[in-house]
Amino acid sequence: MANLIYFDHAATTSPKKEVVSIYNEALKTSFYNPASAHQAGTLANRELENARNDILKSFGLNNYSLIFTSGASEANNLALKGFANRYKKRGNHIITSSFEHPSVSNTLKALENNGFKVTYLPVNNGQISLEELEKAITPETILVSIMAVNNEVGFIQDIKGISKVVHSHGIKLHIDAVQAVGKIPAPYQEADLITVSLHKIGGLKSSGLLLFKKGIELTPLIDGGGQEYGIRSGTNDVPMALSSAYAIKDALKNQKENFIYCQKLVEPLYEYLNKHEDLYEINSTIDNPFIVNFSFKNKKASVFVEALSSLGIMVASKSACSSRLDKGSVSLLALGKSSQIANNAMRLSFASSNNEEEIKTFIDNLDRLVKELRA
Amino acid sequence: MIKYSHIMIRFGELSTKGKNKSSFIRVLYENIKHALKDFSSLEIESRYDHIYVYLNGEDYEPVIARLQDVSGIHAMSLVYRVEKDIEAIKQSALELINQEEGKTFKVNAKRGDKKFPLHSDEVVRAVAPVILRNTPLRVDVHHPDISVNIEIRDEAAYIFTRTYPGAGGYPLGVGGKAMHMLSGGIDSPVAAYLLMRRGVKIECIHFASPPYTNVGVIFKLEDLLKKLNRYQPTIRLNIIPFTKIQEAIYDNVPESYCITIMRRMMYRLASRLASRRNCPVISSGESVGQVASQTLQSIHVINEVTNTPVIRPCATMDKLDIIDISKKIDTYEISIRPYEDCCTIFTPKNPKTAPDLEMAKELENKFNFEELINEALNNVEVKIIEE
Repeated sequence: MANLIYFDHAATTSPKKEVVSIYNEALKTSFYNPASAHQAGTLANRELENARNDILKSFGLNNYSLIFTSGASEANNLALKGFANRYKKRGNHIITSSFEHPSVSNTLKALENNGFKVTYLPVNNGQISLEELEKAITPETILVSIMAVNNEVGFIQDIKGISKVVHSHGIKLHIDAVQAVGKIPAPYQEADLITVSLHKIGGLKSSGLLLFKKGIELTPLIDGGGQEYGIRSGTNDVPMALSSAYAIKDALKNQKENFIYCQKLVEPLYEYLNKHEDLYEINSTIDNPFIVNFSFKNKKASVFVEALSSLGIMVASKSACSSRLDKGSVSLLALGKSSQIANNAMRLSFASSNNEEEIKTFIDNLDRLVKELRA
Repeated sequence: MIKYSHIMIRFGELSTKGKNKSSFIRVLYENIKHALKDFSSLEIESRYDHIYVYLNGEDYEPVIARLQDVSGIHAMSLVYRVEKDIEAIKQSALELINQEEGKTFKVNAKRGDKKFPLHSDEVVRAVAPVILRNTPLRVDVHHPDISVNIEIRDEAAYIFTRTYPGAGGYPLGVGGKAMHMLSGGIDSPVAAYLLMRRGVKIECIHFASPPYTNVGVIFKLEDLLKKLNRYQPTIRLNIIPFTKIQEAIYDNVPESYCITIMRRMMYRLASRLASRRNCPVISSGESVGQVASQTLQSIHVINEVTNTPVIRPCATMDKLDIIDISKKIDTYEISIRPYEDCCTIFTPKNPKTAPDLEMAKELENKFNFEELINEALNNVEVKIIEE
């Protein structure tokens, strides 16, 4: 499907033209295995390390290590399992929030089945409370993992405040920064481990990053040839690394501009939703203009998603069909919303490729459909 | 590895006679030819009371496996060809019986070539001792575990010890055509399969209500029909645009009767399309008593809209048995994909298990459903699903 009005950028984005051309070019000139003894391999290795350093420089984290992974899910798994298993002699308690991405929450569940204890802090106003975090810390706590920006409802955590609490106890902090990079400013240097995803910011699929402070050790998930400091084996993908370096640089460079652009973009949308309080409940925060999440107070969201799809407008929703495993939006349930609200939410997420014409088309069609559909 | 010469196919339902029998055989022959079209070395011959599939060196296992899904076949035997020499026959019989499992055996012989020096019972008396001497098997003439069947013909001798069960039923096509309501759930593909096994070809009718139903349902139906192509190579799917009718029911009918009225509309559409498409009957995957619309009283009120006969192959089956078949025909995993029942606009808290016919009619007359039905029938989307 092409030429759509695409409002699902939090799910994935189309790769930027330059990202693809860098990748394609590199496939011809830099496809070599950086571990090879020959000169071509040596040069490829050089390019790989340049890409690595470029990314660290873009983040301003020159004293960090960076590992290229197959995505944010792998990076989260590596951060959590890698850290927990390495430092389990120091303690077996991990603290997180109750609305993390499944690649964090399910990984923590797996760790719970392996002798670890996890505390899931409540997020009643979209943020964890620093007092409750302080209270939850025990002598067994070794790690706190918090999503910098929530992918469903957009809430932004006070990373600086969290870092202060966490570090005052000598505990490490992991942040899932997938929805922050290129969008919301985040104090990366406050975190000991950082997860990043490339396909959310115009990069290629199957590409993620784990950044971590030098000195932190991680038990590998993937053993093998010893690439990526012995932590993540597998032949390095130099073309991917080069294209990722570009994507990161581009995203961080345009972050401020994108933020201002999207702020303006969503104004009419919030205006419309606020005007029809009887129909819609807003779940997202205006602090994050990249994500707008609202629920239908007495209608079925899935029918609207389908109807909008037929009109060429793509939006996100977590359906809660009794026949599926989905129980509705985890984040909305964690926010204390009712079943109707949690099961009938619609999420729109934006990028600079969206424009006000598209927003207007969405509003006009939503308004018409909400009157016509017997959902 | 024993190289079998051919597969001998026996038909089911041998009570068919005369004209019916010859058309039965002709249709079965064509269906077998089609089923085996990807095996390049085979030759298929229709002869008297059997159909023969000559392997010509082809491995028998995939051929047997394919034939086990061809309805109308009662049983298939794997036949070995040997020269018309009693020593060779004895050797081959021994070799074949060593492939089989069991404790007892019996030798049967038939002598078609009257010039062969031994009579049938002499053949039996020559072969049986060889088996007794060289295997731990004992003879049982009443209920042998293994039957060694020897046939002496003009050109050669044939031996078979192994028979596979066929699908039974009738060859697809001899039973006519049914308009089958395909919902995409577990039951309707199973019902389709059971009809095909009785020789009935089906056309499908499906009621789509976008945006209340998801486009994924249609992909699911295509995938289900591709599985059913194994039993019916070409299936026509008629998709009825049902949205307007669904909305009219929602607007005019109280919640407890929505399902009843909706099913009545579906039956009207199915029977009219059936008659347009020359199907003398309609069919569905309905069972008695599973959900509110499937009580006898509901069936009575729903069926009242038409006198086209309705066949419900799953009517008295237990859900577990339906699921077993669904897994056997490989439709279960597809059927449980979560688009079917999900997100219909009707989720009445108390659907009528015993609707009243007069009430149903009264409710229907509140809106002009005839016009909506005609409009739907004039906008059918057709898909042909074939292997």
